[in-house]
Amino acid sequence: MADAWTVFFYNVESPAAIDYNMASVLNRSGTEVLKIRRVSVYTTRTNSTAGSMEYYELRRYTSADVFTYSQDTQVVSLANDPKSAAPSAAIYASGYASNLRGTYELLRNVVIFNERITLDTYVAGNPMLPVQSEVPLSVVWDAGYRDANVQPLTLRASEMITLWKAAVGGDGPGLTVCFEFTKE
Amino acid sequence: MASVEAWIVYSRNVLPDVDGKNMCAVLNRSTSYILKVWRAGFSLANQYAAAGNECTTELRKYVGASLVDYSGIVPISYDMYNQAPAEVIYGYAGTVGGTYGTLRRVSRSCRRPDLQNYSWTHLDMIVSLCTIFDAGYEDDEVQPLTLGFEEMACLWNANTITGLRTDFWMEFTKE
Repeated sequence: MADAWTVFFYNVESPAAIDYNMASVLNRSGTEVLKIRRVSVYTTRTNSTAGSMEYYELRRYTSADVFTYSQDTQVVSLANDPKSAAPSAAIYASGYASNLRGTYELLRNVVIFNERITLDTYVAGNPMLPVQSEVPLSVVWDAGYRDANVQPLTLRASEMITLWKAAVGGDGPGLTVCFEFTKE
Repeated sequence: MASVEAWIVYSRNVLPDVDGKNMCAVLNRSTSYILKVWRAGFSLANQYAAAGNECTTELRKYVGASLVDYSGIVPISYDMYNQAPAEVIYGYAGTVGGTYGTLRRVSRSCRRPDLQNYSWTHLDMIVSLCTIFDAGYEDDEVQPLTLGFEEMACLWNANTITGLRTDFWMEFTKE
């Protein structure tokens, strides 16, 4: 059993502009290998009622690097076991696209309705918000989870996974993105 | 059990404009290894227009398969150290040959979702609900779909009307 962590980006503001790194995990270690087990996207915002329909891409970058963190928001990883030794050179950040380098491959396209949930939205307003707030339905990537036959997505040196805002969809604050990964 | 090298073939923004069109295919032309298709599905992430149609998609397995004049897709390896199977064709469109059996035939919404007007389209936004094949996934007692020499897995458009662009994908390993 490998040591595992969760990286939780809560209430990431989604700007009106496209090309925005909503949440990412970058492995800068030449010796440690990070394996992405699951990626989930929630709508848990509580800060306003207006929202928008937004398009996101799950991307894996190679030769990735971040050359400035001045505009980025960084979070820390949470170990499932506090005795786990944290990855030595990983960065968990959301921030502007201009800060990223590398080339990417597209793993998945997803549509997210980013709006505040209210008790009656299922019938009156945005009907998908309650659905997208359900944890089991929010998983957008889980290759190899519960199945050891299938290799999980692996991040080696200078590789990064990111949830990328890919199309104009309005200005919707409050998405939550969750990465689960292991280190080997 | 140790995990086996894995890839995803992600066929992006394919237009279901022809009744009988290959939307995403993996054709094994190797006699030395087999491919195992673990999961297949689609992703409704259409950004182009609000109008759309009800579409029909089949998952087919071909034997004695051929695929020519297709648009190629580069498979994405789950680990950069993987050696992609070279004697494999990954592509959409083109001319398909061979004999097929149908594993799934599903109706799906092919319309851009909108913020209101709850409909079938909205359920097709959920990744886990758009995975249409996963035989053997999470269960070692069940064999996954296996592709030997000149066998092909194909997501096939069977619409009689034009739908809107959709992503199709398959996840596979090599042994």
